[in-house]
Amino acid sequence: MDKRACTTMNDVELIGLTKRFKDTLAVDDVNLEIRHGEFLFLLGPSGCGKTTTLRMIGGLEAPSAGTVKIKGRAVNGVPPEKRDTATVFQRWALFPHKTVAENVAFGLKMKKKPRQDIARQVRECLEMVDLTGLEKRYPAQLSGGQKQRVALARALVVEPAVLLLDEPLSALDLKLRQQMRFEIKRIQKDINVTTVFVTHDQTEALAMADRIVVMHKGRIEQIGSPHEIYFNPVSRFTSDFIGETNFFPGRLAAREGDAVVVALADGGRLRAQLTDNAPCPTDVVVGVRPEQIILHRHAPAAGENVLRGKVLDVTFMGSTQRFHVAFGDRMIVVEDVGGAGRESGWHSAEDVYLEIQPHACLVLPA
Amino acid sequence: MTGDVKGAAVPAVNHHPALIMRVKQIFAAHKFLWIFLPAVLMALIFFFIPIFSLLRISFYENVGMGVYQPAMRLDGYIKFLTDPFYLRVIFFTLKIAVLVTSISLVAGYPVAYYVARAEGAKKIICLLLIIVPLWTNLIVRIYGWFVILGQKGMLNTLLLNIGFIDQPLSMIFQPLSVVIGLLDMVFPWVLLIMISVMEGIDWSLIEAARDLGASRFQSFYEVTFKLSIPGFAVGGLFAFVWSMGEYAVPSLLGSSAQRTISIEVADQILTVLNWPFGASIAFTLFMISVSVLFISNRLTQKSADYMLR
Amino acid sequence: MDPSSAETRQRIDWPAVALTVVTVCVLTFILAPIAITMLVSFNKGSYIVFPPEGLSLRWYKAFFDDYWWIMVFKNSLLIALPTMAVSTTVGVLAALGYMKRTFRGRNVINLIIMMPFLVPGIIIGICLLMFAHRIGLSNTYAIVIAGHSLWATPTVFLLVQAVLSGYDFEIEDAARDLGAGPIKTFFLITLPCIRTGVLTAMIFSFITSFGEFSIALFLTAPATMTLPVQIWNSLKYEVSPIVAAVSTIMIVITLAAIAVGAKFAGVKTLSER
Repeated sequence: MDKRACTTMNDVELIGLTKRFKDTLAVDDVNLEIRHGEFLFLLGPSGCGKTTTLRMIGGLEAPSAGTVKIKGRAVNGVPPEKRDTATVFQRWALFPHKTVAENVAFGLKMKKKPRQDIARQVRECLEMVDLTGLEKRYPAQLSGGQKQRVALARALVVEPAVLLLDEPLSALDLKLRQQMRFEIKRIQKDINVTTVFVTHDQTEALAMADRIVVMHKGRIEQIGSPHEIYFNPVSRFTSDFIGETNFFPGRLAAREGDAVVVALADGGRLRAQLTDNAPCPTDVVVGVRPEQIILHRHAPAAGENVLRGKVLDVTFMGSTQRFHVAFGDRMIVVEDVGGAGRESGWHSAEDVYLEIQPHACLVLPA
Repeated sequence: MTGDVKGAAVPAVNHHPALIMRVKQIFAAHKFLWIFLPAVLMALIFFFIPIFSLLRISFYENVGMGVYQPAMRLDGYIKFLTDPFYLRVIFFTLKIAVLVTSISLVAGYPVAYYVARAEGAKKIICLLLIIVPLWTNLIVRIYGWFVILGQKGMLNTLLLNIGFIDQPLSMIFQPLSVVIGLLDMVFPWVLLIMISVMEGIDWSLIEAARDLGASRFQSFYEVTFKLSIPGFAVGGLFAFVWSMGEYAVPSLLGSSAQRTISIEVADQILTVLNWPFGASIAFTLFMISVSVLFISNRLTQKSADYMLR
Repeated sequence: MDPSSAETRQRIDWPAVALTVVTVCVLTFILAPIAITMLVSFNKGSYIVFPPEGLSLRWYKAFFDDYWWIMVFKNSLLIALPTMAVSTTVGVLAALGYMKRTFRGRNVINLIIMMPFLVPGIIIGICLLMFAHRIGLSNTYAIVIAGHSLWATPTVFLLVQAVLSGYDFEIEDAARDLGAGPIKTFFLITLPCIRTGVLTAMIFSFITSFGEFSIALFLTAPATMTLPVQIWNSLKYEVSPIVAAVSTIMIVITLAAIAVGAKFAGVKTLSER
């Protein structure tokens, strides 16, 4: 069978991947397919299993159960030095006793490439990450951002089938982080290498990913494009983790085709637009993003989907105003950029009306 | 298995198959542990198995002149622990050990405090001055005490010359010289242990205490002293074990009237050649040392808890 | 009582003074025998008197001329060098494994490795004496090397641990990730980075074996006798200033070792217990 003619464009396949540490289940039955050239993100809070999953792809951890396939070939039991992956570590892990050039050349040396080729490839790679001129420096003489680039160059130069990045930007300061995001994305697109990026920073994931895998307690919560994840979270956790969400618990009161009416626990009703015709559980929670709530000083004419609350406080944020509104026992956060939220002169204890469009209501299982 | 007659080249390993099996099992399960194999093997073959041998021999019957027969007799232990002569030896050893331990702790504590609080060059110099005796071998230092304490030695010559005394003092081959020698041996270790504990103390706690109204002495007692007690205790226990088990110092700096447990053991093994009896004494000494070590282990746990808080 | 600022300046800080005095006394106490020995070794006269009657190197000459002392010195070397090799190898490997990560049984391993060092030396001497008889290794260099390695490995173990606290184990993962097998990683990455630690361990395991007495007393025969045992014999039976010369030589070796070790690893690491 000619592998090259194989129609699978999946560079990485994870099948039932599980990792158990003593009594904790770090990774629980993860199934994932990563396409060639894709920039995939593993996103989640600390302890969710994303780094462990990454390490299992790279071979630095052995799975307790399940299979890892790279380019169609199962690599369980194959040690990291024989896998076609390269990792960029969170704290860079540069060899302190080798120069920048020697660090980058290391992988090629292990492959026993001829010296001239190594020299040329190292030079090209350092150009690509904008570090020409620093070949003879030692890691101790470099700044954080420079070390990051060396680590990146070192991984890229071996032309791996899969590039693995373990929270590579978390040790950098904000401005540098934003700059590196742009660089990494650019390089990835140029080279078209399949990349798996682990982070807990959702802004990073939303900005750079082709697809995001949201993980929680070792399991996959949701897989989708940044747009899908942000606007159509399927669970309370995802909705809460990505961006901000207000949650209104309630019970299903009526169903009308692809819309439902939810009776809220704190009073009032909301009509919500569902994204599909799947059955809806009875106990639900409606999630609404702060920027999708429209504020009114007086009850608007169209009475549907309007909730009444009291202003607790208003914080001036420059481009917006941030409202804390009491609704029943609940505190709702609103950042209304279009309507009355832009007006000044709001007082606390003032009555306010919250209008929420049906399509802005995310119906999530409780 | 017939008698273990001296000189028979019987591999000891064959006598302890169960232990070896268990170790093998553990190593097979976790590949990572293989890096410890040489160390564990070494400890096993040259320490733990010989200790078991020692225990076994201590139960044997002495036939005389270094030959012994397998038996199960507690004679050795009973003799050692009941005969008034040996009881005197035990008592003497303990007395000396307690004395050395107390002095080293009391005198060492302020020094440890001083060095732990010192900074820069002063600290490095002090540490160096402690490290040098630590690594200089004991026999050489004992010789130094010979020169200092001897009849025609330094102290006597000095005191005679300034007319402080008329006749040379007898300072060597006394309990005093044994204590001095043991102190010299024990001090560097005790100092380093206590210094490392002191350095783990958060000095801002003292500032907090002063801020809350404690006097210098009170803040020292409530904070520093109480936090350093576990380290204090560990240092003391080590000093005790080593003073008890030390051989060179009492044998050289003491006269034949100063017999310690270690001297008895060496005597029985090397001179009298009553190996079973010697083994009983040795094993008793071993058990005392090990118990003391376990106690000190517990105390280090406690001190670790303090630091984490 | 609230003293005025003028009074505080004049008041002597008694506790601090007392502290300094005690420290000076104790440090003098532990250094005195070493210093005195060195001075006495240059004594012209033939008694161990102090102050020395005159300066001369005759006792050093006597040492180098005495074939017995030289033989004993050679024995010490013949034992200390292999001990250095064995204990450094074993101890470095053990320390690497110990510091790399926590694992179940880590404390047990620590105990197993450290125990031989923590019990009095004569116990090891006695046990190995009996053991040597049973396996036919009595009166050989081998059994002394074994005993000394057992004694020196814990020292190496502790020393290398102190050095490893500054070592980033993740670079080994990086090397594996880039294609180096475990053995290549060890020789290309691990060893070069812990070079100073290994050297320091070698130096101090050598010193430990060279100066070790209690174990050697039980395990050496006249033919394999080591320097400390011979000094002990001399002190027991006849005290000649040659002993002072020998002792000074040993002291100087120790000082050199400490100097080199301090340079490589820093004084702080050397004082880790």
